[in-house]
Amino acid sequence: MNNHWRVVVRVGLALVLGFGAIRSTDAAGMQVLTLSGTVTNSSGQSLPGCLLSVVSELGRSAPVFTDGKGSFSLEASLPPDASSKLFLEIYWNRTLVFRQPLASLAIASATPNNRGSPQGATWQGLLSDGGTVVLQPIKLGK
Amino acid sequence: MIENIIAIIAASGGIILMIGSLVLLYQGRITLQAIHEKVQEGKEPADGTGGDALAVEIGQIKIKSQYPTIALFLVAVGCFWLALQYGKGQRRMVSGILTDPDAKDYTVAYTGVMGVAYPDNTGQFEQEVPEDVHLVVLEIAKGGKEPQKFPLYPSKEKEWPVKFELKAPTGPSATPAAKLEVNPAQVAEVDKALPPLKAQ
Repeated sequence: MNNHWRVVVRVGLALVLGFGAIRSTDAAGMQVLTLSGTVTNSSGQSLPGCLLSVVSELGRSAPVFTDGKGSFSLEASLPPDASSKLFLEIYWNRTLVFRQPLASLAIASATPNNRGSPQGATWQGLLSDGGTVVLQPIKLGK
Repeated sequence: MIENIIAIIAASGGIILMIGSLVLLYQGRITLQAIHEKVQEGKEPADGTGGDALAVEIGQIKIKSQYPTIALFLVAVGCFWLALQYGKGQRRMVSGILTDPDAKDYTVAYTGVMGVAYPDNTGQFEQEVPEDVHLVVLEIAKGGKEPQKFPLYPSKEKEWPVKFELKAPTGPSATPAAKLEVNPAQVAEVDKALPPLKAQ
């Protein structure tokens, strides 16, 4: 084969493989955590209409409202960089009334994506592999 | 759909031009030498066409280059710019008016679009959404009130802003809304700034 065409074929292959590598990293780098639970006030009354979102310095999940019974369910994509801290934020109208690290919230039950993990249903395992978490009721206010 | 096809064609064109120009440069078919220099050397016919490798005139903007390699590079950049413009996707403004005396206390969540809008004093709100989104579900709520959902088909709407009227609460939700006394201790401080709830 002509030397010049060899160069062209090599450059083409490098481009295709390079793009392929970038795409697969993006697709595999994201794990999803599904959170659900209820929000109440200090006297235990359920709070509908609260806006919840999971946030880190890298981004924010789609915000969701609590329904008529104060229940919520939201999905958050976990950042590939495990060092970035995730927070759960709750807004009452336009006011931020709750922001706590996700790892500090009490778990009622959880199903990690990686069932074989020896870490079990701990925040460490859930935040690295994703899964489904039901939180214990979150009490807002004094 | 058509935007994606244009973006793919433009991006492919840009890649082909870039690789092609490198190959031609390597083979010596094109050079980094200006055309007028070649004409002076007698390597190119002086046919009186001006000797420009690239001559583009768009209104008041005139671009000329006597260097074939630069001309190819500029065309490739143009292809990539076109691909980028179409790749970003077109966006449209989805606006509404909430006909409620307490409209400014409500929050509007554009579910699936990851956006939140706050109605102003007149109840008007707006948010940009990708043009290829056919259905936007708006969830409207305020603290203590059950959210109400409003499906909206942007391509079918003739008049903007769209009017939204909240249904009067009935049944158990008609009971007085739960009160909330904010506890500042529940809002943890953060070292680095977090993205705002409302998209900028």
